[in-house]
Amino acid sequence: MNYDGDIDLRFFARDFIRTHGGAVEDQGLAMDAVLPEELADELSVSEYLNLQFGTGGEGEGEIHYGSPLLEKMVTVARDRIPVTSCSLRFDYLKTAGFDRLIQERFHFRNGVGKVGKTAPTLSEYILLHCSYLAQSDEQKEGLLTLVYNRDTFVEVSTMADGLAGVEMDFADEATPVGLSEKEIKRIEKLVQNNAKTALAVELKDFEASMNRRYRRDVKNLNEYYTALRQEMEKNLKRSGLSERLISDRKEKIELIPAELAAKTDDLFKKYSIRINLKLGGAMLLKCPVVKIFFKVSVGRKKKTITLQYNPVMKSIEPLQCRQCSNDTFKPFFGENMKILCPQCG
Amino acid sequence: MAKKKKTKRKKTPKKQSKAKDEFARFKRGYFFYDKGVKHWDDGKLHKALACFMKALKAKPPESHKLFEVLVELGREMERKDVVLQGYAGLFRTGHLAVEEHPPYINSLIKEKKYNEANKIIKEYRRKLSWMDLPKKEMVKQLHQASGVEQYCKDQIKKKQYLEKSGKKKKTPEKNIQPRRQNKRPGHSLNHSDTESRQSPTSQVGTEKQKSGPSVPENKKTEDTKKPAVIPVTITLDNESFFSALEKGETVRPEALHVTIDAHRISLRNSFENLICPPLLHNIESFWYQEETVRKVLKTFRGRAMLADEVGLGKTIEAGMVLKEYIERGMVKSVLILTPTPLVSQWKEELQVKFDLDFVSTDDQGTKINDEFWRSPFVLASINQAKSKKNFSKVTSREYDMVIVDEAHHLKNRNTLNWKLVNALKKRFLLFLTATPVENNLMELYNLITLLKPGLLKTASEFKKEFMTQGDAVSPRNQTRLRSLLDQVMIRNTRALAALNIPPRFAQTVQINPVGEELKLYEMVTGLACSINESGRHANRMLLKNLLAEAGSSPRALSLTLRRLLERDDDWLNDFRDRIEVIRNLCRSITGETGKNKALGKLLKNTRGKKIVFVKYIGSMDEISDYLSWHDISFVTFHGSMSNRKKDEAIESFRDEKDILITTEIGGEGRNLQFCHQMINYDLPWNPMKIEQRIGRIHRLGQQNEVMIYNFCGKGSLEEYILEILDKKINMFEMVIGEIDMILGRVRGEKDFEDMVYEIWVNSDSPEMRGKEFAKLGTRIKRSKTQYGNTRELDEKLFGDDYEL
Repeated sequence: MNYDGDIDLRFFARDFIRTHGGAVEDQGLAMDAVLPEELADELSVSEYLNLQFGTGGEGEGEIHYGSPLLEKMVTVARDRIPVTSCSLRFDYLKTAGFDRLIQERFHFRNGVGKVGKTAPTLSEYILLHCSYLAQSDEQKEGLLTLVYNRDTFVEVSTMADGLAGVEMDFADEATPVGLSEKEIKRIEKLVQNNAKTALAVELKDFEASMNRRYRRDVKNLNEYYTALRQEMEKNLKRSGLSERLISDRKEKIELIPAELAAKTDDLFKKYSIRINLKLGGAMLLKCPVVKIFFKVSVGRKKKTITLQYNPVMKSIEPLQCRQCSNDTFKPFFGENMKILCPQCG
Repeated sequence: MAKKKKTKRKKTPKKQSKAKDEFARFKRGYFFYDKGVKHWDDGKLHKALACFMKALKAKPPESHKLFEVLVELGREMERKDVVLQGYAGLFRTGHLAVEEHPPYINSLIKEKKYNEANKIIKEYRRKLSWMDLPKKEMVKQLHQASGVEQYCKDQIKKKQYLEKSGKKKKTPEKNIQPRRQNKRPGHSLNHSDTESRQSPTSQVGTEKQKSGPSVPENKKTEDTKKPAVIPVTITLDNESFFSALEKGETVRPEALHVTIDAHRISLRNSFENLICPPLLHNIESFWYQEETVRKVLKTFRGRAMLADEVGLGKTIEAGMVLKEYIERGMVKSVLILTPTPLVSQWKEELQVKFDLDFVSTDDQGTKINDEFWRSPFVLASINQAKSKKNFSKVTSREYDMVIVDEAHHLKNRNTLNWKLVNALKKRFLLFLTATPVENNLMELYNLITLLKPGLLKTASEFKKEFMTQGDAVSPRNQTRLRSLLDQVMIRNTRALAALNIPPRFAQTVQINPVGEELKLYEMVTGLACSINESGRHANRMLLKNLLAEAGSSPRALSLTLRRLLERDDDWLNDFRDRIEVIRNLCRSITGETGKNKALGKLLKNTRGKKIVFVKYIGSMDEISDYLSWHDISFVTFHGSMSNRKKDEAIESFRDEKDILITTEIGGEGRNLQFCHQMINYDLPWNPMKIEQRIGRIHRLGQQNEVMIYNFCGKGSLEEYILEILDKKINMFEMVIGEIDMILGRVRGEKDFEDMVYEIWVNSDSPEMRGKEFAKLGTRIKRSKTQYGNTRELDEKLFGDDYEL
């Protein structure tokens, strides 16, 4: 169900003004704010504001859900797509016990393996906050968070949940983000593939509702045209109709299937769900990880693959299928020990 | 001399020639394969097929590639036999991909090869478990496969039966030309991955060309070519990705938090995310209720008719809409109009579940004056609000929100009810009714005109466009009417809500009074009648209580009588002696009362956990003593206990004891669905209270049929109540909420409690009592019939067209 924890509008307003170069002073229930000229113009307010929260007043400084000032702040904040960069810090990184984790997480369909050496290293990740708008007969919007390992391109979105308790060192601002076009395209492709699974849960009821309405409308349409056809055929049997009239009406009856098909197509288009995903913000993360060199045997063939322990998730990241690029915890080793997902294998 | 082993010699040349032959065959096979491919490229499909068949005969290694080619070519040529041959070969050689199993199975079913189909299904199910599918998808696929398997088994049995009985029918499929695509899909499985791979854009969920298992129809019907499931396409805003990740610069983390919070605030502003759910108490809101709230806020913008079928929680939905608006600061003044008997119920729900304090026309000691009507949150009986005295006061001020419960009372525009709501100045307006149309489509017109004036144009235009002459309830231009009503109405059905709760049954346990019990009851009745006749109407509540306690237990009655005797009221002086006598009689009747004996017998003869409901603490004590005396273990639960004690009591009932004795609050907000039997040791006179008791165990999560045992003394008021509610209208087997719909038509200004009380105290004799109760029963039964007709009418009119 879509409701999240309380957003304190006071903190939002305060942080918004500060990040846009303004200054804020707490005055108990209200706040005094001084805005830069540019920001004041954007918000269409004076440079000095007394912010009131939820008092029900109608002054320019009034902030509550639906108030003009809050709406403008939200619009300005959403216009940017901020990207931050940080390094995660851990006091302790796991050094042993990976066998058990691998056993719990992975199922090697045609091979056996064991942990060889391990090595701590740094891995880069990208966390993407995407806003989505699903349009059909109605509209639904929301926020989606996806996380990818920039080295292996596996999806590790559960990492987002574990970040709250982790210490972060943020890079200086105004550093160019500078991802290559190739990498961005790859990320886009991953987002497009993964979003469908992530959104399936959020949009389940919405999709079910649109499907219900579509089937209901198609059924009603079919009934209507069936009844219409029957009525028209019945009317043909009336006496006194001229040949021309009969032929006209027969023509119209013959057109009914095409008309029905066209209208059904209209309904199909009406209820089809189109989802637009837009990047809302991103975070580049450098995270200490443990690379695990895992020796796999399939018959006589042997291969050492690299698994990665992620301390934020406290788990091993999935492998990527070399054929379809889907992530998998149930790898199949194909020709030349190529890692394949269950579908491809 | 040992014989030479001639066999060895024979083997060697045979092997060699075999090898030579094989090589030649493979070479032949490859030759025909290459030739076939060339023909295929040139578009000579028949020649290509001939070559591939020759290549197959050669049985080259990697013949699975040939079979793949056969499948593809067969599809292109629309030759089902070729496709099937290809699939069979792939399956035989173990090269049939998992996602190719469904079309193979479908093809076999179309060809009525059910045995083979079953074999493939088994293999498919086995392979599904290997796939890295989300759990829900996995379960769904497996379930569908099981359905198809069952269908195949049924068809095999049917075929065997037909063969045995010598009847062979020509099925329509045999009349279909072999190369024509069958428009009507039969049993089928999903092609989720095949479709998603082929489509140019990514898609969410499963895209199906054919729907899941369904019985094939024999009649030809025009079928739409569109899939039964709408597609979902995802597109990315590339510009946003590139501008941020390629050209952008890093910012402080606070800036990112502000932006993400801005998105979340925007979702709240757009009503996508609700604020109120965490603020509610003792409510388990269902998905359809939250979606309804969202729809009312987002789409209907606060003016809507909530017309859900009975028992789906319209009050909760309305309360949530109200709470959302209040929390967002959009609503600061509210007027709720309800039928008089429902005012206290609303007040309690608003207070307990939504933390909203309303002044109400039911408040004891509150004067319904100007100050009352100026309060920000007003809950009023519509009858009081529309009265001459109050009409102008109510309509002179503005309200942010008005809610009207049982809005079908506004169906006639010539009534004061309608005129009152029409005259109110309001921004948001909610109507609650399970029966928007009772007799005539104009009723609907009148309701919608209040909600959205002009939507249905003028009355004469509405009649002209939508009403059939001579038939007041069948609309014309249904599609157009539907599109208009869609703008203001939601009607969720029980089917949509999927409230799968097992049924409930009731049994009346009639108890013969033991010893002086009958005398006691008659004395209390006499006392109540005397006090009533003396004109002491202010003591109505007291008299109702005394009679109810007399029907509950002597101990409960005794406690009240003692308190009564301690009072100084003058009017009591005329009755003190009688009260004293009755009290003494109460104290002499202990332990083995008729009810207690019946309880003991019932507990002995039935198994399983039971909840015993009582209205009075005195009755609880009496039962406790009785059960203790008979070494039957139990646990008690009442409102005066601390939360910790309450939790312990429920835990003890769940884990150890089989009997829970509880007062009316019993288990409120607690999960008691592990128990499916209840005993109404005493019976509330208000059917809604009975419903509330039943609702403690007859609710979502209950796995078993619920059994309700209703105790009543022979000749008591409760017996008459049960006669009406159980025998006449079968209340205990109704859907929750229906009793209120039925009684709503009968009660008018008086509620059911008052009606039964007045019959009891105003009747001169048992015969007269019997007649009056019979009349009431007949009225209620008639009301049930009328309600049934209305419900059918509304189902026919609205169906599932206005669901979410």
